[in-house]
Amino acid sequence: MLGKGVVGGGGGTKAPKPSFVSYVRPEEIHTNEKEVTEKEVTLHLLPGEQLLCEASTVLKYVQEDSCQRGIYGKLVCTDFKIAFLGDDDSALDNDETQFKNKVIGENDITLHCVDQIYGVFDEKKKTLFGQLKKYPEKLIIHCKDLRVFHFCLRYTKEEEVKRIVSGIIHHTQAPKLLKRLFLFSYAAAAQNHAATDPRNHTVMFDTLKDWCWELERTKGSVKYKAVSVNEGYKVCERLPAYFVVPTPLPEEELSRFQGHGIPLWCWSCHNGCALLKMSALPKKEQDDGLSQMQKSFLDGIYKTIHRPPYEIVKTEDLSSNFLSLQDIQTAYSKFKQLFLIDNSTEFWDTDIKWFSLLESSSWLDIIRRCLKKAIEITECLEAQNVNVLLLEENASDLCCLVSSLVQVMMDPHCRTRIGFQSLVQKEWIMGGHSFLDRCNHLRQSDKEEHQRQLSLPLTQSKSSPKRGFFREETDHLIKNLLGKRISKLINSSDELHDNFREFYDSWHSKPTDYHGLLLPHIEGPEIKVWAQRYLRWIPEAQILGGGRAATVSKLLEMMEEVERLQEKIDARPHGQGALLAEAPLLLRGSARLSALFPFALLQRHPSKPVLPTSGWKALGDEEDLAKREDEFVDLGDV
Amino acid sequence: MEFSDLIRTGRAQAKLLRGPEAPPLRGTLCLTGHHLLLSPGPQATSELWLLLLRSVDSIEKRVASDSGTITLRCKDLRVLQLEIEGVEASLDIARSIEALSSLESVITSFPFFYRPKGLRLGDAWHFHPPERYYKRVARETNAWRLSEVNEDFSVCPSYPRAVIVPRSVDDGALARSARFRQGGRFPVLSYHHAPSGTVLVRSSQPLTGPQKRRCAEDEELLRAVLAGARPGARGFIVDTRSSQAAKQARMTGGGTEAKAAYPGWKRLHRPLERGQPLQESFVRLVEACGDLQQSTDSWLRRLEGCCWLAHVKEALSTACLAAQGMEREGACILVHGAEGTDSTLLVTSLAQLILDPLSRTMAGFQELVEREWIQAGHPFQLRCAHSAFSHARPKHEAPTFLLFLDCVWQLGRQFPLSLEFGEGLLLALFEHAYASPFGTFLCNSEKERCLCEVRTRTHSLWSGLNQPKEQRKLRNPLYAPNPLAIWPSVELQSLRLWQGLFLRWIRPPEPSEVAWEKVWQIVTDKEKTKLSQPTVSASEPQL
Repeated sequence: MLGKGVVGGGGGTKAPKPSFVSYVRPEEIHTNEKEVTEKEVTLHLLPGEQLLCEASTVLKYVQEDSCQRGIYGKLVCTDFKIAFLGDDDSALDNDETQFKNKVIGENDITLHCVDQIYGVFDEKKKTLFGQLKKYPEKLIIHCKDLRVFHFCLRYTKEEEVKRIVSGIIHHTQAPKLLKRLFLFSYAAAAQNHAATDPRNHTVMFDTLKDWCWELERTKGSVKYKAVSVNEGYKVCERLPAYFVVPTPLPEEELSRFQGHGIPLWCWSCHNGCALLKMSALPKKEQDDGLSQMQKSFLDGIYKTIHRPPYEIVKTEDLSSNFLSLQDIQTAYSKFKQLFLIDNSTEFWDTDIKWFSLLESSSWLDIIRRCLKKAIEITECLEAQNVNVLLLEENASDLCCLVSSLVQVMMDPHCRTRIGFQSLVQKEWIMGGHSFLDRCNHLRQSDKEEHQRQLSLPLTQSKSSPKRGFFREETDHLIKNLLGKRISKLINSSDELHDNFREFYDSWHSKPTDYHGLLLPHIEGPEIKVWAQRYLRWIPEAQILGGGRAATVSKLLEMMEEVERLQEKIDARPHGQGALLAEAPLLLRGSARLSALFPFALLQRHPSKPVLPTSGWKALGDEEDLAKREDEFVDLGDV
Repeated sequence: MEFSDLIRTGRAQAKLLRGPEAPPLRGTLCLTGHHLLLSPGPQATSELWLLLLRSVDSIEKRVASDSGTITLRCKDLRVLQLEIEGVEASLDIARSIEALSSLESVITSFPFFYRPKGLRLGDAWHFHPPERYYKRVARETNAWRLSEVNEDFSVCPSYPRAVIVPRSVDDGALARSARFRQGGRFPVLSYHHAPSGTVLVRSSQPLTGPQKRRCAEDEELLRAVLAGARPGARGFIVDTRSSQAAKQARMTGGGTEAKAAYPGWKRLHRPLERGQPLQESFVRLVEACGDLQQSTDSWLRRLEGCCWLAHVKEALSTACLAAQGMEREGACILVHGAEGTDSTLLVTSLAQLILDPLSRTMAGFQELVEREWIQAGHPFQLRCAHSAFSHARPKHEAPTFLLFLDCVWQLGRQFPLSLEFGEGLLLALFEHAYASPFGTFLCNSEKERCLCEVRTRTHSLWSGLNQPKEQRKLRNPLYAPNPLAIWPSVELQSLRLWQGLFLRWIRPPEPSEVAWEKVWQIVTDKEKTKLSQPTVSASEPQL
C-alpha cells in the first residue's frame, strides 16, 4: 500500500535501510538462550604469521546483550593477533563485505591492540597478569580501539584453557624485543611493494631533498636551510638525519649540546614568519660556568631568529604553562572507561550520568585547550607577524601536537590526504615522538604508564574538521561543526587575551575561505565527543541507515548523477560516451550502514529483546513479530 | 478598551541592536497596538523593521541622562536592544510594550486583524479535519467509526466535534466512559497502523479514585479496541507517570486501570516530566546557552543540570516503546498520563512519526500537528503564554510542544533523508506556537476556537506556510520517501543539543545556511537536468 502510494522523488532511490533497535530496558528482558552454532571457519594467516596456541569450544558472548547468549568457536593466538573463529562472514551482504578489513577481521584483536585482560572467577572480575595459579572461567579483553570481548571458557578443556590463557597473557604482556614485533617478520615475508603512483606520494622527510622541497613549498628557503650534519646520527639519535635550521646558524653550533637548544624549523607562514621548535638545554644546578656557557650559547642562537625590528621571536614554553602529559594520560584513561562497556546494563547505567561522567574525565576540556593553544600561536604568526618558538624538554610530545595542529589550521596543503600524511611523517615520525614508549608497544613495565596516548589529542582534535580536510566538496560543513564565542584564557595575560579574542572573533565574523586559514570553534557546546571513534562498538548508539553517513552518501550519489547527466549531454556522437561507464559508487547499496560508518560493526547480531509479555504469553501462539527482519521495499521498481 | 489608551508616546528616535552579527539600525521607532516598527531614515537602504509585540517575553529598561535602553527578550529566544532618545519617551514606550505584549484577550489579538495579500480567509481551515483522517482509516479497517457524540462539546470540552471510536461502541456508552475519565477524555483513536493491524489510542486517566471505581462502558470500550484489531489481540497501557504517581493520583480521584478490570491489557509506566519542572528545565537550558563565558566543563555540567536532553531521551524512548509494541509485538497501545493533553500527545504523535511514512511528508506532518496537538486539545494558550525569559512565575506554562519539536529534530538529524520537511518548519512552528499573526495556535481547544470564531476570522498558519515562496525554507532537499519505520538511537550519547534553535541568535546560523543553500543548488540542478521526467510530488499524501 505504501510502496504503491509513494513514488520516489529522486532518481537514485534505493531500498531504504531498516533501522530497528529495541527500546526495552535490560531489566525488562527475561530470556536466557544460548545459540549453539559451531561453524568451521578457517584461520586466515598473513605472510610470516604463525599460530601459537588455540582452544576450541569457546563461547563468545554477544556484547550488546546481558543475557549470556553467544556463539561457539575456536579461540586462537598467533604472533600477530588473537582471533575468534566462529562467526561466519558469508552472512554479510555483498555490499557489506565490500567494506571488510582484509587484514584484521571483526573478531581479530591484534596483540598490540590489547589494553587490559580480565578474568572472571566465581562472578568476580580480576585483572590478569603474570603467572596464573588458577584459570578463569571467563576472559574479558579490553582493546585499545575500545572493543570489549567476552569469552566463556567453561565448556573448554582444562588443558586448552591453560594453554590459551597463559599464551595470550604472555604474548600481550611480556616485554618484547623490538625485532620480535610481528611487523618485521611480515615485512620479510611480504616484500612485494606495488609501485606507488608519484602523485600519491607521501613525503617521508628522510632525505635532504624532501626538506628542501618543503622549504620551497612554504617559501621558507629565504631564511632557513636544510642541513645534513646529523647524517648517520652523529650529532644526536633523537633528531632526524636531515632537518632545517635558520640560515645564519653556524653548523658547528648544532653539535654543541647534542641538538638541544637548536631552533628546528617546522613550517613557514605566507608572510615569512616561521614556526620553530626547540628542546630545552639540560638543566644544570650550581655549575655556574656551564650555565653561563649555556646562556651565551642561547643568546647567540636567539640572535639568529630574533632581530628586531626585522624579525621578532616569541617563545612558547609548553612544558611550563600548558598541559602536562600526566593530565592528558589521566583524562584519557578516565574518558575511555566510558566506552569500554561490558554489557548493555552497564551502558544504561552510564547513560544516565553521561554528561557528568564526560565532564569529570575533562577530556573534552583538554581537546579545547589544545585547539586554543594552536589558535593562539596561529594568531602570533598570522596577525602579529612574529616567529614562534615552541619549547619543550625533548620537543617531541606537545611540540608535535601543537605544531601539527597549527599547520592543519593554516596550511591547506596539510588538509589533503597526502599533505596530512606528510605532516604526520614530518612532525610526529621525524619529529621524534616516542611512539614505542608512549604506546608501550614493547610492554616495558618500567615505562611510566602516563607517557602513553599523547598522540590521541591530535586525532581527537582533528575529529570535527576531518571530513572537510579530505573532501573538498564537504568543506563548507566544517564551520557547521564548530561554533562561536570564547572563554577565559588559562595562564595568560590580558593583552594576549585581547589579541586572541579579537583575532578569533574577527575571523569568525567574516565569510570563510575554506582553502585558507581555518579556525575551529572552541566554545563549550562545540566540542563534542568524536562519535565515530568512541561510540562505534556500542550497539545502542548506532543509527542504522541514518546519520551523517546517509546524508553524505545521498549527496555523493546526487553529485555523481549530475555529473553523469552532464557528461551525457556533452558526449560526442561517435560513441565515446560508452567509455564513461558507471564508476563503482562506493556507498551505493549501503543498505545497512550505520551512522558511524565506516567505523561501526558491520555485522549485527540479531538480538532484539521483546516487550515483557510473560503476563499473557500462555495465550499467544501468534507469529513473533519481534524476530521479524524489516522487509526491504524496493522503491526503484515501483 | 482601546489600544491607544495604552500608548502614551507612540514615536521616538531610536537605535536597534540585534546581536553581534547584524549591524545596528537607526531610525524612527513607532509603537502600534500590535507592533513595534523601526523605520530607517529616507537615506537608508534597509527595510522597515517590524516586531510583533506578542512575541516579547520580558522587558528590561535602563535610563541614562537623556536616553533610555530597553532590552527585549523575545519568545523565540532572540535578544534585542533599543536605545531610545529621551528618558520620558523611553519609559513610556517600555510601559506600553509591557502592557500590550501581555494582553490576554484573544479576539483583540493580531490574528484577528492580519489580512495578508494573496491569502483568503478560511482557505486552509478545512484542510485537516478529523473526517479527513477518518477517510484514510476507513480504507484500512472497518472496525472504527466517526462519532459526533461531542458535536456540541458537552461530552468532552477539549475534544473536537468528531472523534474516531470503535464501531461496536455506541454514543451512549462513549458518554458514560467520558464521565469516568478526567476532563471527559475517553479513549479515542490516534493512529491505525495498517501493516500490523494495530491501533494507537489515547485518553486521560480513569477516575478510579480511592474507592477503586470501575466503569463497565469504559471497560467495554477498551475491549472493543482489542477486538477491532484482531481476535485475541493484546494491548499495552503506556502510563506516562511512574507507578507510584499513578497510585497517588487515586487520592485525588484519578488513578489507573485495574488489571482485573481490563483483561488483555498490560500496564507499563514510563514517567515523563511535565508542567513546571519541564518549564524550569527549558529556562535553565536557555540560561546556559546565553552564558558567554564558559569552558567545556561548566557547559557540560549545566547541560546535564538542566536535564533537557534527558527529557528528550525519555520522550523519544517512550514513543519508541509504543511504536515497538505496535509494529513488533502486534499489540494495541493506549497512552495516557493524567489530563491526557500533554505528555500523552507527545508520545502518540512521536510514535506516528516513527511508524507512519505519510506523517513524515510535509502535508502529513502538518496534519499530524493539527490532529494530534491542536484538535486533540493541547492547551496552547496556557502552555505557550510565556517562553524562557519571562519573569512571571509559570502557572500553566510548559514547553511540551517544544519538546515534541526537539524530538522531531533529533529524528530528522538521525534520519536525514526520511523527513520531507526540514529544520525550517520546526523553527517556524516553535515561533508561531508562542506568537503568531495566524490563528492556528490560538486558544486551548476546539470549543474555545469555535466561540472566538477563529476559523472564520483569522488566517490559518498552514495556508501561510504552504505558499510557494515559503517552501524553500521549510523543505528537506534530501528527502527520499522511506516506507519503513525509523528507529532512532535514544541514548544521550546519540542525542544532540538543537543548536539551530537554542543557539540560533547567539551564533550565526550562516554556515549551515550556506551548506543547505549549496545542497538546494545541487538538488535543483539535478531537477533541471531531468526536465523530461515529471515526478509525482511526494508531498501530496497519496490517498
